Amino acid sequence: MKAFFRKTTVFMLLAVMIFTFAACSTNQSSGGNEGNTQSEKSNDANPSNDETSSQQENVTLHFRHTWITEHEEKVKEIFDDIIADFEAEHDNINIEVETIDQETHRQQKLKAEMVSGNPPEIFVLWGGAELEPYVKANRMLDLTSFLEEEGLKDQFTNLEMFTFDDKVYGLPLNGYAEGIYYNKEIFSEVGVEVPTTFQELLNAVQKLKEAGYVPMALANKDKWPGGMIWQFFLNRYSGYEHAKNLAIGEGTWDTPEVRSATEAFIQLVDEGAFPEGANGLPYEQQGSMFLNEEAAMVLTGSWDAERFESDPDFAQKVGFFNFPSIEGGNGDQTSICAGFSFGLGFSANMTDAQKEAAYAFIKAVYNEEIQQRYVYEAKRVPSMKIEFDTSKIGPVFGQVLSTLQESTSTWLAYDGVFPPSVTQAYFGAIQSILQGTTVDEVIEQMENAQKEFVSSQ
Amino acid sequence: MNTILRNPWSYLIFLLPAVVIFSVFAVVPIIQTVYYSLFQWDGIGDMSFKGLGNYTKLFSDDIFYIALKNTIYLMLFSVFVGVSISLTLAILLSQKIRAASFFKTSVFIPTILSTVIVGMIWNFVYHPRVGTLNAFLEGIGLEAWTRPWLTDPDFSFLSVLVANTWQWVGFHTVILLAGVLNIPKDVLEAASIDGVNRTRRVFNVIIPLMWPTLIVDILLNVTGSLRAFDIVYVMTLGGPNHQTELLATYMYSKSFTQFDYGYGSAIAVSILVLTLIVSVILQRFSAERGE
Repeated sequence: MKAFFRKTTVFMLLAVMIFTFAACSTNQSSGGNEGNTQSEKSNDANPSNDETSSQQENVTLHFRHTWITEHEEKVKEIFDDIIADFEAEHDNINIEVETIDQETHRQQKLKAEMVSGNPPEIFVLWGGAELEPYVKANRMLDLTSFLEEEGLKDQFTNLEMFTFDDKVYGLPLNGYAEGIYYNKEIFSEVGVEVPTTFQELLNAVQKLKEAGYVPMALANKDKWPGGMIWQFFLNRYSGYEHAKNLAIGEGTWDTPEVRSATEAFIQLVDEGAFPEGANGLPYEQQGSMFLNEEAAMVLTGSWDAERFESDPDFAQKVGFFNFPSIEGGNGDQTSICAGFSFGLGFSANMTDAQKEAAYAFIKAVYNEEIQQRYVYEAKRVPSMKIEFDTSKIGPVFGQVLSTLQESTSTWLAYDGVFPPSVTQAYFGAIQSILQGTTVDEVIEQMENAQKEFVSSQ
Repeated sequence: MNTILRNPWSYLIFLLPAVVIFSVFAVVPIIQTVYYSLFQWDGIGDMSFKGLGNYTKLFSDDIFYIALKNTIYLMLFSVFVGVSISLTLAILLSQKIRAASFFKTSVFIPTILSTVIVGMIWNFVYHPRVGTLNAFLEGIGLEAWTRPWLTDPDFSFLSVLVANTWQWVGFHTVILLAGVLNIPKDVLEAASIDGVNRTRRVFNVIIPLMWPTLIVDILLNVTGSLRAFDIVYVMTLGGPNHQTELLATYMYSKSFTQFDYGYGSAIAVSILVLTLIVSVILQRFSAERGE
């Protein structure tokens, strides 16, 4: 009897375990809130006859955004205003806002909804590789003809991340630019100038290191912060074309330029430019190191400008420069990493009335006034070609924008250019480089990932 | 009543709800996972049949071997190190000591914390610049031993293992404590009258008598480690360069970050196979030692 119980216990535990295991792997087919949304939709589509004053039917648009963190508060405020004004202007349109965590939205909820075909009518969206499967599955509203009719298309600086086969499937709200923030006070204390060449950067790193500072803050547990660095070397040496070719499965990583770029990066690491154990630190800490004046520089994007100028005294010390040029490189030496990958997407699964409402909403969001608020209040790089008053911009963000304007050409961050599997290898290689590895190993790892990607196409 | 119990169909009807729930939530998804693992699929678009392609890729994938190795290390570490610590604590706590309930509570506290908090705490302990561990080593004059614990290739996974064991030791101590306390007092008294010393008391009396509980606890440790995911996700995200990857985190990264559902499913199937193998071994082992 005892043995029987023991066996039963073991079996039951086994069952529980399999159950848990299986529960983990079922996410893929879960349909999210399908029933719920469907019933709401059919209710909203019913024309309400009570309102005799308005002939138009009532329309509800669901709008999901992910602005829940402190540094997105201003963006949320702008959108709260847009929605309030929009609803006041259009009596028959009701916008239901849903706010959720970014990772949940991007990685789980939206994907599940895309599988079952019922995403919210309007949602925040990242362009590029992430958007491509949605487009291929015909889930995204094609905005091309609307944009042309309204003459909106030419007003955007760059729609590359949202364009597939010359059709536009989303609109960027704001852009980013990546470069190096530095602490002017530390620089003058140690006696270094803003480096314009890689050699000058190396010299600056040496001096800063000797003076006891972390030359360049980096916290690379999340992998993408390091991704911002290697790309500059690759771009300076090989040019953007090389990366774009790799992204479509042409070309190879095993070129003299990529080797030199990797060597240069390893050289920078060997000089002690980055803090010890950077691979284990969460992203926020690289900003903290810079804010605490432990670190003299940090290579990051325009989105951090707001954080660095939140303290007016500290803001006076912060400067911004583009990654220095490298002698002998084949790329455009004064180009900058910048792009417009974040914006709004629209579901293809809408009634005609909903589409009209969505178009009206687009016009309410994408105009000079809102874009100016984006620049002045949210400190974001505007996605549209607008005029703005430089005196109204904060000291740090102003330098980011002027550096962007001074640059000769722009290219997208490489982690958004390469397909997901190559991007993961790219991140892995950077973590290895930070820990110490050889050029050959890096090239081999990247070539394997590239071959894998080419053969899976 | 008797007639109902004699009818075999009635058993089936009573079992039906459980069978249905189990099938829908366990059996069907497992079959689905096996099915998906035969395809190249990004989770949304068209699926293209690859046969066993994902599995051949699996066996030539270096990262898969790292993940497999780490998962097995985690299992062995929690069984040998984790259970030993829990057993020692359980036997100590079963003695009549002062403030026993205080110690019981303190041992159990890490278990009620969420893994995210545990991960954060240990990230501070291991922090290369301001971490307590490095500060402690410097304090006692062992500067040479300080290192970035979570990113040093030789120590990164061990560091995660320690944090994971710390989190779960309390839970297993409580289970084993129940086993120790269940041992009849008269047996222990008889042992002490016969003049058994402490070591023999533990190894020849206590452990054999609580063997069933021990086996269950080992099984819990094994299953817990095979599906471990969160501690690595919070502490290192599998990095640096996959050094601390587990099968579950690798599966997640393949399916949800790289949109390779087919390959992710193949990894899931490998976890299932590994789990089954380990369970069979354990069952054999417990049956042999049992009687």
